[in-house]
Amino acid sequence: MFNLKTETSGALTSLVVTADLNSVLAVINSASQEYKKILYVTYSRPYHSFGDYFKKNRINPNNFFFIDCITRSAIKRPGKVKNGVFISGPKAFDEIQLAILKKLKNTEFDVMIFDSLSSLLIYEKEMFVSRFLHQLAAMIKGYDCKAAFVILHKDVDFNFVKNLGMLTDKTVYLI
Amino acid sequence: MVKKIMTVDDEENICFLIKELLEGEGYKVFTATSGKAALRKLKTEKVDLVILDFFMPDMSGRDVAEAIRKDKNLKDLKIVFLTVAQYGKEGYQELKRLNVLDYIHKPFDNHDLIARIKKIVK
Repeated sequence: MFNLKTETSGALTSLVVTADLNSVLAVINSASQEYKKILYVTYSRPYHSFGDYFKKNRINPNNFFFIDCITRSAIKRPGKVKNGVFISGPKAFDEIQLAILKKLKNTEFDVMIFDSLSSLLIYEKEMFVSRFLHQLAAMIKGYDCKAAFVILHKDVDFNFVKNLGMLTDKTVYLI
Repeated sequence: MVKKIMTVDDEENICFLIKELLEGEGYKVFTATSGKAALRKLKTEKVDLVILDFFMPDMSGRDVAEAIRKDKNLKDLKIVFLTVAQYGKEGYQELKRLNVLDYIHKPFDNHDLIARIKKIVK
């Protein structure tokens, strides 16, 4: 069974290479058991899709705070939720960074999970994704919070994973 | 004999600046604004050092360095990275594996850049 804490030990920032979307759930499950405060940046699934999964798997949603980068591109006014914010669109990168920064400043998170760099590739080219990862990794280093950047193995080539890996402390393969 | 250097950066102004700086020091400097163009040029121009930007659109600096190390005619070429990137632990291991001799952060100090290049290309 995947253990995020053990796999990423000794690293502040990690690239977590997963086989598919279901493997990402293993990251969520593991994080929910090992950490109390989780900042979850989602590009892959909308905020509301987590409810049922959390219920079914007895995951406490209060341990999570979501920065949802995709819902508002489909639903204009998703309404306010207490454990999440909705970014105006998936390409509002300054807004995303600001939202992350605000949360990190105001709350002591144990870990930030970025789900996922592959989904970000839908909207931007590889070089941009590298730069964005670099900016986020540099930003998070100022806080006592670990970061796991998820990438789906099948969506990207090996060289790109290697390039991204250079910007983090560790690459973990969950394949 | 005049030492030859190639600088590879997708930002033309950076290429131009480095060319000016290093030609002022007596080096012959070639420029390329993409990794692919650099690899093409390296097939015809023998150089003593390549200065590579890390973030480039078609091939990253790491991709270019990897291609250089795999090419039997270029594998011993001296490489320096010029980058805004702050690498993680894995990044530094990768630089070591690719035998990258130095990495210079952007924005760079002109005198520092010249001094570091001079040290490598003696």
